[in-house]
Amino acid sequence: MDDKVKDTESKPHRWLERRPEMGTEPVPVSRVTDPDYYKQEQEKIFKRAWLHMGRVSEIPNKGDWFVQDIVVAGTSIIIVRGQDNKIRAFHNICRHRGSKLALEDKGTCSGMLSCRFHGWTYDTEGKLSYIPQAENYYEPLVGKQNLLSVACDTWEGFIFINLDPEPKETLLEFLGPAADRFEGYPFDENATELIYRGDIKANWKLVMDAQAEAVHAAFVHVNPWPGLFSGGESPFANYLDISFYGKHSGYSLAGGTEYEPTAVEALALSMGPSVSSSGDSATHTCKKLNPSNDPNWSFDCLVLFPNFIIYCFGGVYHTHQFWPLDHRTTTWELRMHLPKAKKASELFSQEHAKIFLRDPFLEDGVINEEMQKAMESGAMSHVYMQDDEALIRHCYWVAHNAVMAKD
Amino acid sequence: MNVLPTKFAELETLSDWAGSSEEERVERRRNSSPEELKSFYGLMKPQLEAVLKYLDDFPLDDMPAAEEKLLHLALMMVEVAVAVEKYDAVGVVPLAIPPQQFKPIYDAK
Repeated sequence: MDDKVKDTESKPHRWLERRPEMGTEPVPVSRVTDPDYYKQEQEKIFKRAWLHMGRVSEIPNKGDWFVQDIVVAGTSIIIVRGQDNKIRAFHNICRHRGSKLALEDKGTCSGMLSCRFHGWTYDTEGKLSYIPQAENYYEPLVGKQNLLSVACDTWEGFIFINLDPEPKETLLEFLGPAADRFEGYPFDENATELIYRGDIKANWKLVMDAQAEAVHAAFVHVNPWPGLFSGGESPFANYLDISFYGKHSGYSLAGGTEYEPTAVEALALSMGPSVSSSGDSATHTCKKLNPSNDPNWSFDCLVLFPNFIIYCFGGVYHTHQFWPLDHRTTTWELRMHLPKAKKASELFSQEHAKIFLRDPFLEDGVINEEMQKAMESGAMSHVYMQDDEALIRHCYWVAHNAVMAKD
Repeated sequence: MNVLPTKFAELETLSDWAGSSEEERVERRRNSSPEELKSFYGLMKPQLEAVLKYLDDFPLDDMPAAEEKLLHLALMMVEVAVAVEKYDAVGVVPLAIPPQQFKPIYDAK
């Protein structure tokens, strides 16, 4: 028996065995090219699933608010911290003549939100409390035409909303077994949030795939990250674990034992945490990190259906979110959370940590856009996914189940 | 006239590389030849640790102008070092979307 055959036999399909109902068939390209399929995703996924909006720390004080436009669901949402400290979400629409209530991205109010069109004014619980010329209307409206509320809840300091007027499940039920995956992670300790955002000309699932699968790093990112997540017995990606949690999934990855930081990179690493540092501070508070207890553990990733990914390293965490604009365009937002830099060397270290990620992500962008074009060419009908890509298969499978579900 | 702290006078020839934002710095990297990137790297690298150690004594949010310029030069070194150490001194990341398409937005919310 030659070595290649032996290698195939010695590596069973270990991840598929954990969710065999996903099947092994190639996935049709129509899932990312068909505008009608996208319409189904809009209705059956984005208007029904719990969607991540941001962190509670973005609105620390009573009256603070921010807006998230959700193009895929055709609406804009305003998230407000009320005078009672409760966080609520409303459609960002004035009930007078349908003007957009808040036109800016964020702000703070002293307890009242006023529409700049004709001054209809709502309290932070959404109640219509004042109308200029109220007596001119033909019926009493104050206290009645309140803001349209949207289901809103938080998990680990992340704010979620659900656009279904009657959500079929609570946020906690939706998260299911994923809910305690990062229990105890010090999400609030990393005070600095660095955000990158951009529109990629590819279907939202393709853009997300690149961040939910590590095998490509050994190929696409061979220049910046030679052996960062591979090497030794795992020449492509050191997967320690792939697990499925209801609609959600996640993996745990080890760093490459032979990876050698370059000179300036090594200096930056000595001055603060990065993705290639083996900082283990968070493992003290979050016992669920590094489930395999691997000495070379790098990070754990949680993919929350439909469009949110959290990467937890020992010293920093990142989130990715993928917002479809149409079936072939996606706004990709990366938020890197780092400890606040107190001195120049720490700022330098963070700059390196940031650029060390930005450049590989620019490399992913081209792959995503070219894949979309290739799939739209009509030359090929299906794509193939191997066992280490089981998590991506899972994302397509869960999305397809949602699209095909009977009401 | 010198714009950097006198202690680091030998870096004066690099002072026009001191872009104050990531977008300025990455543009400078992309518009520089491999020779220019390697030359910057060669001059900056032996001083880098001393520069950062020196700057650590100044408050980040209230740096004198010369020190702030030096800090921006150190941050420029990040772009240059990634190009030189990872991309064979080519300023534009090959087979990648331009950084203008995936931009830093620090005060988004």
